[in-house]
Amino acid sequence: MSDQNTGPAKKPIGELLQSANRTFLYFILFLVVSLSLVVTQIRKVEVPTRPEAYTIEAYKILRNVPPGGVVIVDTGFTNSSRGENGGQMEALLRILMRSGAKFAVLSWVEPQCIEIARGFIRTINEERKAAGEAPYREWEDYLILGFFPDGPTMLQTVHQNVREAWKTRQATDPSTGEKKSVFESPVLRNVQRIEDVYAYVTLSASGTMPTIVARIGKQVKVISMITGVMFPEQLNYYKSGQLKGLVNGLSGCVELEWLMEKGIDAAGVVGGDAPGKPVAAAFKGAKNFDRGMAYYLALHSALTLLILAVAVGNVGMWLTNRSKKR
Amino acid sequence: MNLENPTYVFIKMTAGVLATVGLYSVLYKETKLYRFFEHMFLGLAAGWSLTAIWTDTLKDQWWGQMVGKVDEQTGLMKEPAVWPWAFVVPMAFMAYLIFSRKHNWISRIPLGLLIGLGAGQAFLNWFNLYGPQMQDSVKVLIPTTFSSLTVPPAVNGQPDPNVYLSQAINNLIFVATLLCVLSYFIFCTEFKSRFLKGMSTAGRLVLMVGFGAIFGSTVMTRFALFIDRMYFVWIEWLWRSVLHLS
Repeated sequence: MSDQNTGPAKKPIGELLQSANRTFLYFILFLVVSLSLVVTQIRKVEVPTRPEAYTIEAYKILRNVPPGGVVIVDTGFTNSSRGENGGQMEALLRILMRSGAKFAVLSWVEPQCIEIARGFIRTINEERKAAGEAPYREWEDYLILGFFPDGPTMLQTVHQNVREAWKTRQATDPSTGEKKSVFESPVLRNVQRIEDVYAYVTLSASGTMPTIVARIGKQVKVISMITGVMFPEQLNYYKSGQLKGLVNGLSGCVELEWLMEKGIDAAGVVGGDAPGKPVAAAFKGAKNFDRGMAYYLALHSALTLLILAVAVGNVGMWLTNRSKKR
Repeated sequence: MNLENPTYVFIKMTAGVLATVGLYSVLYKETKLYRFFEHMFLGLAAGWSLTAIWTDTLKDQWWGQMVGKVDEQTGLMKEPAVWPWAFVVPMAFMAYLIFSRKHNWISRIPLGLLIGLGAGQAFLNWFNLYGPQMQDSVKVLIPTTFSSLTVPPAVNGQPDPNVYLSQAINNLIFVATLLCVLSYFIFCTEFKSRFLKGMSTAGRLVLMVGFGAIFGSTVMTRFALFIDRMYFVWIEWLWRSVLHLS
């Protein structure tokens, strides 16, 4: 007897669940993320978090930079990882500027990194002006050391003689309008050796940190702010004490913002109110939650969607296998 | 051009939004719109890099040192010219001889110098990099105190030197994992003992668990990139620049 059903064969539910249209999934992701961002913007959503030990250590060091202490900001990210490194950079600049620290920015990963860092400094300076605070001035408060095409060799020289490594770098002294050696600037004037630098912070989307740690890790406290992709590899360096602090991607950025808001009390408790000098004080009343928290609800929504999609696919596979066995 | 001019900022952001939409259109399919923005992005990045390498590096570190510096007021040399810097030009051009069939051997000279420099540094820094990690792999497996099963809260933020039971268990898991994973990478001999075979299999399994954790972290990065672009389009551009909402 011939088959009477001439229409298209109906897919079993198991196969149907496994063959969701990819474009449709992208569209759902687009909707979920967009909606979460808008909701966060309107309702000022603050998703609670619990900072990890490595983020706490990073915050303790950065928050306790003495006024005038020098921090080297080694920027190694472009707009391709702005989602994670961008928020970290903003949090770092806020902490340094509010602490009165001086900092010098350099890069050896990509020439664009310097211009991107300048953009972030401009943004935070605008924020300071709007809040009635003095903006950070180039030469006086911070320096742009520029791009170094051969980072490993530059760092090797920094290990031996920081003045030799950066001796050709110049910046404009606004008081005379003349280009001078960066070591004449108030930022690096007192830096004779790399040990005179309080901390070396690297923000990167790639594996630049081992190059830094191998060369100057014993002389200066190195903190790494990295993307989630690089985090598992770098955790080893934190565990062995080669890194003094670590900030992991977007979640690390939110943790840093959380610590800026809550602080660490004298008993070492985040958000606690034990009497005495806090281990790392909060910046009460200042703008602490920004890019990290703005993205956090969207990240949770996207991850929920991913888990749901994986679960649906697995149920589909299970149903298909079960029907085949029958 | 005043980079802070609001009109310029708005035009710049709108161009960014168009580029974002153009690049993400690849999720639908690879269209001419996507190819246009892809080429534009690569061209801009290459152009920018070239300029930055000159202004940030070659101008001061090579040209400036080679020609020296003249004091504009006195007309005298302020910094002497170090003419041997001129020798790096033929050295650099030697690398391009890789494209010549007859003379490509010359390109190996600058390449060899660079590799030699890198190898010397790598040799020097190897122990600085891995020494502390090897040292840290030696863990205390026996608790030094049983006053508490878990690590008590820190007093005045100071670390406790004692090793508690939970830490000892954690250390045991770490050491077992390390040995299992290392045994998986022993290829020079065949494991005949069931114990060693089991260790190698366990090593493979824990490696997979590790890769799974790395995948989770990787997903966060990919989502963060997408979220950032959407934030740029909806909040930074539409919300703040077009609608002027706070």
